[in-house]
Amino acid sequence: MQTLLRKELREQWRTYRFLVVVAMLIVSGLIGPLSVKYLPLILAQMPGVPEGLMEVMPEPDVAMAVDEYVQNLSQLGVILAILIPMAAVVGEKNSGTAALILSKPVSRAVFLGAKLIAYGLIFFAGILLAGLGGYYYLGILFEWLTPVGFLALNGLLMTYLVMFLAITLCASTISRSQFAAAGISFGLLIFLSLLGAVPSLSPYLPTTLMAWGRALTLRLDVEPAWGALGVTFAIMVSAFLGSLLVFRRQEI
Amino acid sequence: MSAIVIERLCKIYGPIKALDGLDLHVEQGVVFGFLGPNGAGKTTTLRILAGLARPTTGQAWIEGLPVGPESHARRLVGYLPEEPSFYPWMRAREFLADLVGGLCGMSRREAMARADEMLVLVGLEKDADRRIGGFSRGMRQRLGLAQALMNRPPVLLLDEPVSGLDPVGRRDILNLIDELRGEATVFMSTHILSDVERICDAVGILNHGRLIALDKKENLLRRYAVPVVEVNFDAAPEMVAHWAESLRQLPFVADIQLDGSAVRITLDGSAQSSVDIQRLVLGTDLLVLSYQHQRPQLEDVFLQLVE
Repeated sequence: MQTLLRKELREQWRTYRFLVVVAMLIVSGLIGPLSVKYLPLILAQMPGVPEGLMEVMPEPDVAMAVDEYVQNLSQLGVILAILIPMAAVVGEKNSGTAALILSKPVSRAVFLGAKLIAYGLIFFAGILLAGLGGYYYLGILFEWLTPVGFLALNGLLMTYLVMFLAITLCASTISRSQFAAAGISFGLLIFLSLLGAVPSLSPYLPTTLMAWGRALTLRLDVEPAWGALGVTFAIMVSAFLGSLLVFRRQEI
Repeated sequence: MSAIVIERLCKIYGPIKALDGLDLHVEQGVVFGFLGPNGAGKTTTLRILAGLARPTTGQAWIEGLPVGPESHARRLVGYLPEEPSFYPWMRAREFLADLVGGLCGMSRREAMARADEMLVLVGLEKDADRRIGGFSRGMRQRLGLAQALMNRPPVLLLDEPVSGLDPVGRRDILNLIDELRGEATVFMSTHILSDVERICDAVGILNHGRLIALDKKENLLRRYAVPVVEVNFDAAPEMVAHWAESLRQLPFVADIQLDGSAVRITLDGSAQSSVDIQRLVLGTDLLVLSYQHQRPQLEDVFLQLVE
């Protein structure tokens, strides 16, 4: 496992994927609080802004900033969690590198596991740095939030993104091209969004984790979304086990 | 114990039978040439032995261990695919020492030493710290052989090991394979018959997924290759044709081909036929410019069996 994990991490570094993911997540994490705070000021300075617009704009507060933070990171994070690993398995199968690796005494579970862990670590680094930056700007621009709540928010965000990493890894295992893999993941993302329209299902969907995290950060009184967390883990584990079952039967 | 045992191996891809009940035993320490036309099933066999594909039916063993995607037999195998692919961002030494050495369970120190040794062996020592993405096809082939040899495997599976190499590279790699004789069992597929003739001890010929010949190279040549005599005359083509026609009735002459004043005579293979034809050629009134009794070639055997 160590050898392949090292190779995966080195690959992410040398191909600049690590830098791209971390930089984009950091920017995304910082831009939320900054835009909420300064957008009204920027608009006020711009010529040609309709009269009365500034009066109807709500006064920026920490809740709006947290909302923006969560929305930015979850949306961009999901896109990255689909686009970055979409070629992880199918790319190696098509190029022939998988054949070279798997002819060595290494199990296919380790081959897949190393990839999921490596991608998870990159996203962890990105969310960690985005979280630190976001927490700092939320603090100095609005108010200092409880660290535990904000940590929980980022932990839930990370869980949500790892679920999409696992889904994309599974899609990359079963499909014949990286674009098909991305298509499958985006399809599932849309499907989960559509399910959100069903009120009875909504509390159990992974997106509910964002609302739970927001509430924990802002110390709001909401029901814990253990069901959504369980479903998220179930999807994550199923996707990984599914990809493993398929991969073990595949010919390379 | 045989190094490689294959029993009733079948592989079906949709309507295509890539392997059709292949049975094969390869002795330890030999260089085995696995021949066959394109699509005969050579690469499929190698992929099954390397644990990358599963047979539809049948089974194969390497050094007594059953092969398969999670099999321990992979510890005993070095595999070189026909067109080896690498991570273009990696460097050659890094690939061998860190990745291949690590996957083979070597310590870092041992892997570094072995990687350097392998790079020298395949002539890539000067390119050890270059990115593989900039390597030519020949260099990738050499690196592919180096990675196959990293863990000193008792069985080497080589799929067209000299394809894409220039003549010097081809010679070097063939010499290297030749030197492995006795140390490792080399199972190599190729369609370059002269290479097989040069280095292989035993030969198996595959056609439409079936083994149609299997023997030591000398036995195959003795059994299947037909002697051929080529004669060049200094005479008018009509006179040569007239003389050649007179040979057709002879029982030991299998075929005659004319090309101007040159005649190619295929004999039936009996020991006496070579002596008789020589007497006839030299006894003619036509002036003989050259007389050549061709050595039986593996190519003749191959073509005779496959066509």
